[in-house]
Amino acid sequence: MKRLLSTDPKGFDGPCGELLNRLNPRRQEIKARLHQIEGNLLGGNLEGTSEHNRWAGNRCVALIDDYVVVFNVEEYSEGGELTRHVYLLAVELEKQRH
Amino acid sequence: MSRALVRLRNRNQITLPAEVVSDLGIDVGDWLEITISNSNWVQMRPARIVTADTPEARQLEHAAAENVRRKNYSTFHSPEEFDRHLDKIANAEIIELPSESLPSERRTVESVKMISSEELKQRVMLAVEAVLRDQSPIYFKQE
Repeated sequence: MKRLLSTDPKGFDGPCGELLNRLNPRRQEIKARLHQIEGNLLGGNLEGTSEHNRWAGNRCVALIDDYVVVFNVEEYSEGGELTRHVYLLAVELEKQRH
Repeated sequence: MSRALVRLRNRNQITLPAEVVSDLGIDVGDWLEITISNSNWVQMRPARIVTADTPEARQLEHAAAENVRRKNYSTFHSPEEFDRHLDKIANAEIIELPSESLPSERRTVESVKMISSEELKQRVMLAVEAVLRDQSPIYFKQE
């Protein structure tokens, strides 16, 4: 199976860059978590992710503190080969849980 | 509402007046999204991390889904490639947004004609004269 990861420049890259800067001392922790998320999603493990946006079928997974990564996964056949394509769409702040 | 004139300096840098920074509620490290309209209006708005499940977040996700549909995204084929991308965005000063994410009016970019300093002086004089004669000021549109 072919595995691809894509990011959206406005929804993901900008906010992720901001977060990496804002929480600079925890940059390695955030990067490690992102790699973990990447590995899980490309491997098809959606455990621990929740439905985020009903109309769009987006899901989200915890990143760090109250921040979440919103993503979508598509599986399609390309040239006879099955492809799993993970799109990281946004980094958002979850509302405070009480 | 704040309005200010700022001067472009070396390396295309501008300084936002403290009042503007305060009104926008932004801080060092925050991102600003810059959009230029066909009539050369520059719109600058904070591109901060949004709160989930708000209209702003839904709009952002909708735009991201549109980018997926139009295949407007960065793709990585290995964890190393993704890692380099994370370093790049963490240290970036500018992130180029896909042109399709801009408002439709911006998609056709007008060519900007350079005018000579003489022509510029002439235009300024005409505008000043019009104001002095208590007429409506003349606005020039770049051709």
